[in-house]
Amino acid sequence: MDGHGGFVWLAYSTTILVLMINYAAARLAIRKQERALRWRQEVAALQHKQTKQPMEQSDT
Amino acid sequence: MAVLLLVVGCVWGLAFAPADYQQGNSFRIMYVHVPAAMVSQSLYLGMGVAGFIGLVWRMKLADVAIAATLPLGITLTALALFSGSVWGRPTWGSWWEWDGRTVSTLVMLFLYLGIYALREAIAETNLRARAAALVALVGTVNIPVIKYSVEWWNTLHQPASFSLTEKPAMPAEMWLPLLVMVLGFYCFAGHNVLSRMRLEILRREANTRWVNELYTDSEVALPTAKGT
Repeated sequence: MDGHGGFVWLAYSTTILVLMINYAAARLAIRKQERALRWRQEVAALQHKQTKQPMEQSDT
Repeated sequence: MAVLLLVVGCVWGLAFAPADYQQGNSFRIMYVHVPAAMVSQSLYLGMGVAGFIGLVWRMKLADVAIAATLPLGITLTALALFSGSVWGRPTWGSWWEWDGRTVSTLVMLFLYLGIYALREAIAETNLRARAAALVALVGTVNIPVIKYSVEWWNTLHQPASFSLTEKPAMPAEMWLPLLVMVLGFYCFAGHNVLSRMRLEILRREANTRWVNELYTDSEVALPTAKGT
């Protein structure tokens, strides 16, 4: 590349790295948030089940 | 779509586009530098529009858009400056020149970073949104400065590769891969900004009923914020 290959590959590899990091960062952040939301729901469902059960036992 | 366009554009630009008669093969850096610069400026303009909408109509989605645009805008502006510097070394003989376009692009990077720092510094949501919107709106004055700097000042930087009103100065086998790369970058930016907007909305609305219903398998819903 007339001795300019180093510059060209440096620019292209940096670009690909930057785009991949941006994509991965957004995806990972969304997954983390969705996991946190699902976990909250599961915890709430479990707590609700536990508070209901003692009440049902006392009726009998 | 973005991946396909970027792969096709990169391969075409690296392997099949002819070398420039003056710059040789270093001109191929144009295929990453120009799209990064164009998209970073478009993202800033988008932020300015969102800022205007947020200030006038107080729409929360405008602030969501600004928050979602910032990370990609910062990285693409930095990438445009870096790739421009790498291109400048073999072309101009130096890594950096205090040229009109390079300086105004650097100012745009500082504006992006300033808006990010402002958002991180202010805890109160409405005040943070208004401050960021105001800075984004005022900073849009820099966009025409970047665009016309090569005409207004005696600069080293070459004129625009594309123009809406004139035929490109390059032959088709040189500007077609550039067009493909520009489209690829825009598709990527659109996808990334929309993903981050989704993330931002999920974060802000985490305590609302509609988000809880999206992420629950059981019949029990969490107690939600008042009025939601």
